[in-house]
Amino acid sequence: MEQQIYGDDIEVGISIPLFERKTDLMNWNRWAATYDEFVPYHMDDEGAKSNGQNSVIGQGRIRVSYLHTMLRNWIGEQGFILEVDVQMRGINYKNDTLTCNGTVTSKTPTENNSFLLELDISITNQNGVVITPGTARVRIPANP
Amino acid sequence: MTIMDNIRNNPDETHLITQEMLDWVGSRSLPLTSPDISESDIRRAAIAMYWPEVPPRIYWDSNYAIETVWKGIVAPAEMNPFSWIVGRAHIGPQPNRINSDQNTIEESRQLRPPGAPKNYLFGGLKSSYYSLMRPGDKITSIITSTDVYEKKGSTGQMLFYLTNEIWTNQNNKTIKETVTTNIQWE
Repeated sequence: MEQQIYGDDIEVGISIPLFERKTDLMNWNRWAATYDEFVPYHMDDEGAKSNGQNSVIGQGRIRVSYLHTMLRNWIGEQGFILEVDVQMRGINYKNDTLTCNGTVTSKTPTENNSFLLELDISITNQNGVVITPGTARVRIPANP
Repeated sequence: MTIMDNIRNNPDETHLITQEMLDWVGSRSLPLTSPDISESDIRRAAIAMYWPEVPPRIYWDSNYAIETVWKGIVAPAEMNPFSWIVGRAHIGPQPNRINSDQNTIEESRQLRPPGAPKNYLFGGLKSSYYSLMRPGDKITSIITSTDVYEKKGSTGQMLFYLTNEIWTNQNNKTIKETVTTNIQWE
């Protein structure tokens, strides 16, 4: 059984566990293969330069996926992601270390013995620059 | 004053928006239906998402998954069931430049404003989830264009357009709704 959190134990203001990835072609090519996203500027430097970038860049949608994975790792198997709202504000270059983080901003009990949580989420690179700000809503069970 | 009035009154400024693009707002794509989702599709997607970690068993171990609250394997919510579709009719990730074949596909589904610049970047999204995808599901996508506007950016004038995409499964159950911000420039 996977580890499970319960709404009664969660306090507004807490930070959820970080999710970190050093991104390079090993990540991006796997993503491209599953998402069918073979775009030249995600493949090599030449493709990126022809599009005005200095070097190869990562897919925006893998960042979206990293944020989902951070949320899933925290809410556990019985949790459910209701909404993710993110903006692409910066570029993800090869060998960047991306850190996904989240903070609980509200908690509301629901009728179905569960809790609705709202979070501020973001991805920060190794230079401390927020390249993907956003928000999320998740549902987790109440204590059994 | 309308957007077009403003453009006509400022002929010295560079603009990307045309009346055709404004008319495109509100158009709805033809439905696109995915192939059946297989357990292998889900396993491979989950491995790519979690790599180098082993993904949770709910995504690849049917004996385990049947004992969970979901009563079987489910797909990660952000999985794309339209990958590797014959004809490559994009509904999500899009190429940075459109060749003639791609253009035909996208124009037929009215996915981009007519006459939009060819460089493309994904600007972000808001996805609302209602149900999980499972093996055997067939997902149907319908996209509605909801807004188009322009802004001056680092590469000059940039065209922003928003789409609203709804996925339903074979039982007409809504899976998710996504508003995507797309950016194009010359």
